[in-house]
Amino acid sequence: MSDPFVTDFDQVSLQVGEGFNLISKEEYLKIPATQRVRQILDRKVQFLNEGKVVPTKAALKTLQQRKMSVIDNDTLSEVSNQAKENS
Amino acid sequence: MGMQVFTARRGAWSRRTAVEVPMLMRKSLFFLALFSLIHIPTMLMAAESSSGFSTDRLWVLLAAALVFMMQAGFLLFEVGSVQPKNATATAMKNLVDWTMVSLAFFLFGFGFMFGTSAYGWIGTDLFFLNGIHAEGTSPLGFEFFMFELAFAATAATIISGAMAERTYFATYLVLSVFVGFIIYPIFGHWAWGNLFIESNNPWLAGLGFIDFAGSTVVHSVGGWISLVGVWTLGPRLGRYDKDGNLKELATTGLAWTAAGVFVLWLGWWGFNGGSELALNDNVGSIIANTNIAAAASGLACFAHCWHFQKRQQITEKFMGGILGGLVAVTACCSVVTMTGALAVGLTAGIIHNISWDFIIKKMKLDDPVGAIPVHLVCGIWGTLCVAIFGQQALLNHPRFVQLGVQAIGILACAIWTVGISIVVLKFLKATTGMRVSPTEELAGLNIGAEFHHVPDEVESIDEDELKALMGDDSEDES
Repeated sequence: MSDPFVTDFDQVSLQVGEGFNLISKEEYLKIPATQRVRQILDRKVQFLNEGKVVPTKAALKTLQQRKMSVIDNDTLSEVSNQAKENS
Repeated sequence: MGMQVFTARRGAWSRRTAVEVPMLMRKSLFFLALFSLIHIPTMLMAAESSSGFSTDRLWVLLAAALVFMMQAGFLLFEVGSVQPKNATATAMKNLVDWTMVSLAFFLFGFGFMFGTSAYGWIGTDLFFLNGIHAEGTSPLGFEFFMFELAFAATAATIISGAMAERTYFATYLVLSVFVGFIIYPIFGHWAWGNLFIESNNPWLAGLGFIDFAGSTVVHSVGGWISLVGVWTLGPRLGRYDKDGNLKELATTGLAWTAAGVFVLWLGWWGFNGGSELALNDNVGSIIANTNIAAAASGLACFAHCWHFQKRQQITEKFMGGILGGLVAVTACCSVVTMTGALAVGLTAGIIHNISWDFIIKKMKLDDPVGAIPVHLVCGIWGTLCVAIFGQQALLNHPRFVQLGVQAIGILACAIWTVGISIVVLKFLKATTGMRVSPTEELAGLNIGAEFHHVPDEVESIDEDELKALMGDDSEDES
């Protein structure tokens, strides 16, 4: 049975300046992991499936399920440390 | 009786005035029209002889007004074609086009396009219209400026339809300025740079390139920018399904689009007829050619879609096809016979349909109003038609040489317009972003969010949550 809190996505909307750009899932996954994490923390990302907005957590879980992880733990720690140093 | 009127109840007074005032207005208008019919020709003749005023100038100014009215035609066409939730925002973009291009063309655009030529590549004076009445310039002066301004705005407004329903307003505004400021005027100088200063020798015109009223100069320029814009922007959300099949979206009402076609059709009489820049014997045939090509294109387009395209999107294609015929005949309306114009229209209608399916269905370039097949593809075809259907005596070269020159003009337009559009749009994509947010797009742009641009409430995830999510992932992996 499929998990209702896991939703696949095919496009990603990224905020750039005041506007947004729409890119495919493949293009999104080419962005460096640290940058992707930063974008999620800065709330500049919306995931879409067939033209409808998908909850961020549900989209991230899809990546987990498919073993296409958005980020590994080392990168996350690095970003977290950087954020702490900056603050 | 007079007292009765003043002492009558408010309702009775209102009823009486409601009847009498329009009657009075009708009578006044009748006498005004009668007076105009009798006196205006006399006044014109007197003015022409005493102050240098000419019917040519009046005709160009009238044609400018007709071309200006085409903005309203584009507005109706686009508003009718988009989803109701985006109708107002689409209309706003049309207004922005005229506003921005008016300023940009006045400040620099007119000078780059019609100023004293530097080696045939770019105009170097007439900025802020300084020197518009200088020696060696056309006596049309400000009338010419208004006419050409309306043309520049037409090139810009083509893009608003193609990029409708998802473009971020500020980004579009900047693009619109670039079109009026530099993209349109530079190419315009190459082809038409000697229209205002006869001693100019722009390189493309020097080769013998013929584009009478702008199939390439105006329409293809707008079409190429639209192509790059749509490609950079991506389709509207929900326009294609997961397998890439086209999905129909609601429209505000194609009746509005049809009204837009009529307004544009009339405006085109000024667009092509006014491009003669004089009221002479050619104007009538130019307008007749324009009309017959549009009618033939509409018929060919309708019949082709009915028999060969399973009547899919037949209404949209019929209306687009009429415009395609108008665009195609724009380059050649001064050199073809009526039969030639008929041939231009018939072929343009079929080419429009084939390109519509190829661009929108196969290439999946989402163009809500079909601007690319109409303005780009039919613009290219019309430019070639100069050599194919034009009367040899009116061409600058033997037919096949002329065809080569026309192809050079089309290629030059493609290289310049696509090249600079990619630079501008990539820059905008990297700095301001191209689109509105998905939430705004799905809600519709009429609500004003696009203009105030309140960022969405994007679902927030703090670091701990993200860590937890990733932690689960690492556990899975282990």
